[in-house]
Amino acid sequence: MSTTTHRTPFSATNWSEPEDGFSTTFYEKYTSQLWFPEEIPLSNDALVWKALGDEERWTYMHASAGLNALDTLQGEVGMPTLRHLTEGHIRKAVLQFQGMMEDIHARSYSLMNKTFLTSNEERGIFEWVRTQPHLQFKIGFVQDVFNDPDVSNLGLWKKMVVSCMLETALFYSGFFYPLYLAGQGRMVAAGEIFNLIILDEAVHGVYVAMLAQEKFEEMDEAEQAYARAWYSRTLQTLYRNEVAYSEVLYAGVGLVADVKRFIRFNFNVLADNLNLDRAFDDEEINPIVRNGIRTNGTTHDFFSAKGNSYSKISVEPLAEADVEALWSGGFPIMAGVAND
Amino acid sequence: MTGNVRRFAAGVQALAEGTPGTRVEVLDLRKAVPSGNFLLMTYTFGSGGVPETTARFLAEHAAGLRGVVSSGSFHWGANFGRAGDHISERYGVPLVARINKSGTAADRQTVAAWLTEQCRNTLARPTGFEDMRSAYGTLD
Repeated sequence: MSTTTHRTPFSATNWSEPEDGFSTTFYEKYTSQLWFPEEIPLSNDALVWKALGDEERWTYMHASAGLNALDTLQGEVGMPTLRHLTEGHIRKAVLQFQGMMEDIHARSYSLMNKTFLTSNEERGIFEWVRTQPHLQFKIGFVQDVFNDPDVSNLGLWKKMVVSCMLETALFYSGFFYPLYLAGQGRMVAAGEIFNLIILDEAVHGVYVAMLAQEKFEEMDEAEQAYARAWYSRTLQTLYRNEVAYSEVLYAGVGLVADVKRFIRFNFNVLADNLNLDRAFDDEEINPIVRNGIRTNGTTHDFFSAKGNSYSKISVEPLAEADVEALWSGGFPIMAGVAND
Repeated sequence: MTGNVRRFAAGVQALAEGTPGTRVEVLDLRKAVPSGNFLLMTYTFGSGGVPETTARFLAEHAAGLRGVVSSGSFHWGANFGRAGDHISERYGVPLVARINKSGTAADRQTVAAWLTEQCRNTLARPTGFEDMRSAYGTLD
């Protein structure tokens, strides 16, 4: 009995008294944009897939398999680590939701493999992920930061920064190709899944960056100077690795230069989110990729109302009048669908 | 939210004030209200919605609004920086620029040139150019 007396009472999550001015907004954003890959009919792309060249198929599948590994890392290590080390019930809830979204992304990539590949090809791709040196270097580097026992402001900031690096920059070597094809009207259902994932990651990258900015503000000047230098070094190391990885992934389809530009562009977005100096000059991204991002939803399924051009369906409560209409002799089934 | 609009505004201010006769004041709309004409710079959240703080500000102080700049994220495709389109349409003012995060050097040029032009036009009138202000709204 006496052992319980010194325990801090455990509190409940009070959404009426937010811990900050933004976490609730992010949580609501996530619940409104929640989607599942089963809602997008991937089989629509099956014929297009067969019409792609060998090199095109190779790049597409290996790009997405690499992303699967990175999303698995975020869902399994990144988000749980940040959640564990971040104060506040609402903030923890937001981070846990983000972790769940990462797992949904990983499942999406796996469903793509299942839809388009034979079991043998599938096994080959998962083995490739386990042995691809640049991918494993990137994962190992990020994992080491997440597992670093330093939980000072600086240590936490570093963990948040590598999480943002994944979300905002290091995924983009993989995102390039599906966007490039979707921008030409090829593999559009899978392209829609990629777009949904990109929108999720874009918001995750902003949320964690806001937490990181708070930690940065709490550091003294010397720590901030150290943090900036560490950021530059880390960015250069991971950028060089991305360049090498892109050369492996994209040499066969002749797009290496465009992918590098896309990665630099996104590293600049990362710097903006973190309120740090941009590492690269202003550049335009490939217009076909931009078009792939602009692609409006292809899933015209009224009842699920998902896809990147839809918001979640809105619901209106039943009223007296609905019941009266139902009993006044009309076909009940009509009353059910009349609210469109 | 992440300070992109604030950084962009500071960059534009530095650039515009390099032109003789142009004075630009940057106000944080959570703390101050512009007294004369102003250019609104706002972020966009979600699927291109006008942020609540920005909408609330405009409901009361739209009289001096002369133009809008919206910052957003290129990931949103057709909805990228859409808040700017909404404001532009609703208040009948030009969307001076749509910027990705804190914008590029070319974006800063565009907006600084627009501000300089506005200052010149205002100078011809007796009200004086100090009424031209640049302001931004952020999530509080």
